[in-house]
Parts: sequence; structure tokens; C-alpha cells
Amino acid sequence: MSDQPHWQEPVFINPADLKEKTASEDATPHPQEFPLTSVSVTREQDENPQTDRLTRPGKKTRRWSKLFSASMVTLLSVGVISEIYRLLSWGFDIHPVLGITFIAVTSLATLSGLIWTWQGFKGLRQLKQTEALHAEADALRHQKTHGQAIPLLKKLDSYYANTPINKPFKEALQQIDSAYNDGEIIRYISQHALKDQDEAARRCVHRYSVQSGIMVALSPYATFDMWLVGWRNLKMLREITEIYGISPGAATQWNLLKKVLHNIAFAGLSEMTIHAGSHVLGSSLTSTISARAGQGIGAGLFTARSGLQAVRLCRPLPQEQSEQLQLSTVTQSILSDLKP
Amino acid sequence: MGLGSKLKSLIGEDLLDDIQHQLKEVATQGLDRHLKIAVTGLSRSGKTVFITSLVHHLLEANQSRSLPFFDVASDQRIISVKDLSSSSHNPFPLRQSVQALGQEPPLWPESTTGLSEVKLAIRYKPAGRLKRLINDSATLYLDIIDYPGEWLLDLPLLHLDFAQWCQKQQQLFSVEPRASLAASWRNAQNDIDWLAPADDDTLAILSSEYTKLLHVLRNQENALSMIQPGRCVLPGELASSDLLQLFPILNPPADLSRISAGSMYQRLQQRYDDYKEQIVKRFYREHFSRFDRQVVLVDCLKVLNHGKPCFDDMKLALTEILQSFNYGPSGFLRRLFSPQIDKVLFASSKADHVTANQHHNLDKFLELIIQDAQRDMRFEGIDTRCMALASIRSTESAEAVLDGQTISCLKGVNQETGETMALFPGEVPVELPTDKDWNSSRFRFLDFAPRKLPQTDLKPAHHIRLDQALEYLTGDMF
Repeated sequence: MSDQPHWQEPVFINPADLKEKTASEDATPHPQEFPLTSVSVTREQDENPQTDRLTRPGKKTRRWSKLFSASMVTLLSVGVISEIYRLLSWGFDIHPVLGITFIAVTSLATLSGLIWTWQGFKGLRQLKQTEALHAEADALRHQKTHGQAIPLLKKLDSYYANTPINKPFKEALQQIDSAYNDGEIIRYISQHALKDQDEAARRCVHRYSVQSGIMVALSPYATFDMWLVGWRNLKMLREITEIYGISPGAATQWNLLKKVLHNIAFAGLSEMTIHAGSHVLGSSLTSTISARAGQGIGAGLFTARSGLQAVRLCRPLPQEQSEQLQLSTVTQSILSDLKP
Repeated sequence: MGLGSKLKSLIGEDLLDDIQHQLKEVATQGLDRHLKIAVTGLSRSGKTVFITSLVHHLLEANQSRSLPFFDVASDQRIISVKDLSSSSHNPFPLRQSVQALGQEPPLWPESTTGLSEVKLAIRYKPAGRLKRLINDSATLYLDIIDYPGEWLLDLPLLHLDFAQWCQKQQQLFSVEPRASLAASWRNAQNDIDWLAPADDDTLAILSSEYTKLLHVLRNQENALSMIQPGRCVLPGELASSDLLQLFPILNPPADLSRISAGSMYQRLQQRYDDYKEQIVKRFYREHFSRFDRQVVLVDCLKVLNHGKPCFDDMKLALTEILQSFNYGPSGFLRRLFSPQIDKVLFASSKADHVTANQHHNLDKFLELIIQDAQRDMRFEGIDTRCMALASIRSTESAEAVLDGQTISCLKGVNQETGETMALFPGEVPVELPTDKDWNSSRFRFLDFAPRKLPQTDLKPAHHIRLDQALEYLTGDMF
């Protein structure tokens, strides 16, 4: 053992020599070295890609289908463009005013289509960002280290720049105590910055669940039920994305729906059915409701579950309450609304 | 013979006392939700400050937002908290303590010399909507008692008879630093024939010497924890009682069967048994047998400042104390009839005396001290957790540049000199330092004077993790 001590000696410091702290420094801990013992390897990060690989089978290179779709797209676009060209020239042949009208309509359609697609891609990009932030925050959530949350907070800051969430986020950031470790910082921000959004989302989920429950209970045809539930679900998803500041668009919605269904299907299918079933059973025992009303409650529960999943996917920070608990609170409120 | 005494003779006094006590409690509690929290800690570990701060923050919980991680408070579901302590025989001196901390300059509350009790009624809105339909508000009664930490060390005596106790003390006094500190007292014992008829004067002299010795052992310099019997150093209402003329015999006669009635040995043994029966057992029965949750406060910094003997002694003391509590899973009915502790929080107090990045290390170091006790509890299926907390924060975090390197340090008022100072107190080790490392230059955890605790408008910056401690201990009740 060398004589050189491996620890830093305590020192007295003249209070006048202390660096003056500014408000911005208050919120952010400072870069520093960590003893290896206080750093633990985050397992979640390693596991995530693995589970992704497991649940999503790798795409095989299907040459023929690619070739088919490429040729099909070329064929169709060539067809459409030539058809539009012929339409325009035909219009100009009849009368220049008709031609100009056609040009105006065509350019309007192209422009709006492009904007729509761009919005959709923006939403998709935001969703992807959210997922990455969520994973990062999840890994930090139970860490007792100091200073590792700063990069995440910076990313969140730019993520929320120019959104209504920016203000509560900044406020929460300022209230962070200097003694909090990384996990506590994440939990604090998650609880305090998104409080209004969570409440709005909870009310939204509740409203749509009750709506779809009542509609299914009242609708006379089974096929009609499916459409009703689907319609309400899509509308709810759009509203939730708006609440959490994600640009709504068909692509976003489609992607979110896919993920929600994927999560519902793969994350404990049996547990879900048991849980939902027990709620339906429990409620049918306590009050004599008709089979149709029972169906309505089932549909409402399904909507609630997909709504909660959507909230989870749209939130960049993990929620503190367990999903089971959230579901059961939402279910309770749905049941109390649906029961006479 | 009355029915009471007949019953007593039938089933034994202890059991009858127990049943009576429980029936009384069940009757008064009814179906209200009650929670009794044991605040356990050796002397000077911060029990009184912990209770003061906890109660003060709770009483203000509906107005200030000082407990962000205590869910029921941060959701603003607490309607009001009422202090019912005045209904108790020995109310906790909350007002004095809060006043002492709120005056200029603020002072730490006086150390406790007797037993006192806090009773709080917390009225809150239940979380679930269904529950809210049934009941607009609910009440949780919270009971906490404060007592001198010295008395806690008597609890392990309950399992020992006099001979066993002497044997244990013999082992303790054979190790440094006790061996050299107690040398003269040991020598004084050597001259005495324990089988001879009892001589009260000799016993009185020896016991007063022993009391002096105990005071030396626990003073600032030696800071040992295993001080038995606890009432000798802090008699409370028992001052000048004969029972306290008690000390262990370090060189007991070889053949205990030859002890005759009226001998020195027999006299001490009698006193020990009486002390156990009349003081310790009563104290335990009335205040310590019925708890739902437990906080164990440990002052790790004292250990680090004083070195290995202090570490070993504290570890032994805590392990022995914690064996006296009832642990086990506790359901609703259990809580009503025979409560058992089902959640234990080990808290290293004075977390504000180290820099924030050392809190995790403080947790790890605390685990070293309590690992034996924690292992036993886990085996019983008890939920345990370690946490670094500060009931009242007395320092601010600051940073300084030292040799071109930025280090975080603490800024506060020195308790002894009263001057504002900045200090980098050293790093908390995560394992037991080797003999070479226990030296005076490694740690300098000084005592800071408290910062002013306002009467109202409390902020999260007035404590460290007190809210998380509350959430852990009581969160599931709301």
C-alpha cells in the first residue's frame, strides 16, 4: 500500500472565497468525478434493445416485394403526373380560366399534402424522442448518484421549448433542491412539471371511456360497436397527443395506435384480461346490470387501458403511480359513472 | 378474593396486564386508522429534532408546500392536522422546541430527559374516487413518543439474567478503550468478596464510581454507546433511588451455587431483577411493545469522527436494541389487536453535515452499522430501507476552487464558535476504513448550529428527505 491516501482530506475554506451561486447554477449540479462504488451499471438500458428484438421480429429482406412496391409506386406516380398534365392541358384548351383554376387546385392539394406529411413526420420524430427520453429517465429513476441527470434535463428543456409545458417545467427546475440525487430530481420533475397535463389526460381518458362505454351499451348492432370503440379511441389518442404537446397527425396517430395495441397485446395479456374481467365481474355482481351494460363496461375499460398506454407513450418521464393502480382508479371512476 | 386478583393468579399478572392494555386500546381506537411510530435512536442521534421537525412540517402541511415527496401533502389532500398531545400525560414540548429553533440565533432543542408523547390527528381527503364517494374526509391518528436514548439500552436487559449480564459486561470491559478507562474501577472490585454479607456503604461507593465511569465512557471524547444500565446516567424521576445502585460484577465468584442470601452478590442480583421488573419491563410494556412502524436514527458522523471502537460499540448497541422489538407482517386486524412492526426505516441523521454527493455513501456506511439487525428483519419479511436525512438543514451547499479543482462544500455556522464557516468535511467511506485510515485528518464532521426554522411558510429547503421518510413510513395509510 502506498503512502498516498486515496481520499481527499477535509479542508476549511474561507467563506469569502466561495463562488457566488447564480440561480441557474442552483438548478444544475456540477460535473464531477465519481468513486466507482457510487456508480452502478444501469441494466435497463442494456435490456431494452433486447426485448425490442424479441418482440419485433427482424425484417427479412424480401427482394420481390420491394421490387414490386417500387415498380408499383413508379407506375402510379407516372400515371398520376401524366394524368394531371393532360387534365391541365385539356383545361387550357377549353379556356385559360379553367386551366388556371386547375393549376390552383393542384398546387393547393400538393402544398397541403406536403404540410400534412411534414406534420406527421414531426409528430413521429417527437414520439421517437419521447421514447428515448423515457428510457433515459427510467434508467436514472432509482439512481442515487449526483450530476447524471443534467444532460437529460437539458434535453427536456429543449424538448419543451416553445410549448405550454415550458413554464411549469422551468418552475419545477428552479425548485429542485441541491440535496436531491438524480433519481429524486427525475421524480420531482415528473410529479411537478406535468401535473396539469396528467390531470387533463386523466379527465380525457375518463371521458372517452365513459362515452364509448355508454355508446356500446346503447348501440343495437355488434359490428357497430367495433366502429364506435375504434372511432372514440382514435379521437382520444389525438387529444392525448395534443395535451402532451406532440404534433398530431395521421402518421403520429397511426404509429401511436400501433404502439398502444402492441403494448396492450404484449405487456401481460393474461394479467390484463384477468384484471379487466374481475372488474366487469365485480361490478356485475354488485349491481344487476344487463349483459349489454356489461359489454359497455368492457368497452369502456378497453378504452381506458389504451388511453393510459397512450399517456405512458406520450410522457417523456416515467409515471410514479404503477399502471395497475392508475387503471384501477380510472376504472373505479368509470364504474361509478356508468352504474345508475 | 376479588375477581381481578383471582384472574391474576390464574393467568399471570403480565398476561392480564397485556390483555387489559389491549382491550383499552381497541376500545379507544375503534375503527379509526391509528399508526404508532417508534422513533428509535441512541442518545444524541437527533430524535427530538426529528420529531419536532416532522410534527412542525405536518402541522403546516395544508398551508406550505414543504413536503414535495409526501404524496398526500403534495397533492394537497391534507385538510388539516391537529395536535392532540395535550390530552396525553406527558405532552411533547413542541412549542418550546419550535421556538428555540425559530429564535435568533436559533438553538437546537434541549436533549430529552424524560418521556413525552405526540398525538396528531391528520384529516385528509382519500385518494380513490370511490372512497371519496363513501367518505368526504378521513382521519389518521399518528402517535409518536420521545424518550431519552439512554433508556433504550435497558431493553436488551430483558432477555438477560444477572449472571449473563455480568458475563457480557466482562467481555465489554476486557476490550480497549474500556479496559484502560475502567482499570481503577476494576481494581476496586478485585478487593471485594462477593460472598460476604452485604455492605451497603461499599456498594454505594462502587456504584457511584461506576456511574462516574459511565459518564466518562459516553462523553464527547470516547463517545461509546453501550452504556448499561441506562437509568444510571439519566435517572429521570428515579434519581437517588436504591435501585440505581447497580453495577456488573466483573470477577464473579466461580461457584454461583454457594451464594447465600444477604451476600453482596445476592444483593446486586436482587437489585438487578427489581430494576428489570419495575423499571425496564414497565417502560417496555407501556411504551415499546405496540408499534406499527419504526425509524432508527443513527449518527454515522459521530462514528466516523471517533473511529473503530465507537463503530463497534454502536453496532453492538443497535443490534441488541433492535432485537427487543416485535417484527412481523401486520395486517389490519393485527394492527388493531397485536401490532407488529412491518416497516423499518434506517436513517442516518445529520445528512446536512456532509455534501450532497456523499449521501449515497452515507447510506452505504449506515448499512455497515446495521447489517446484522437488517439481516434479521429481512428474514422476518420486514420492509427496510436506508436513507440519509436531515430533520433541519443547518448548512447550505456551496463550492470552492481548491488547487484548480472545483469541490462542493458546506457553508454554515459553527456550533462551538458561532462563526460562519465553509468546510469540505471529507468523503464518507463506503466500507470500514482500515486502521491506517482512521486518523484525525481524514474526517472533520463538525457540528453546525441550526438555521432558523420559521413558524410558517416552510420550504423543502428546510429539511433533507424528511418528506420521503414520511412517505415511506405512512404513505400507504392515506
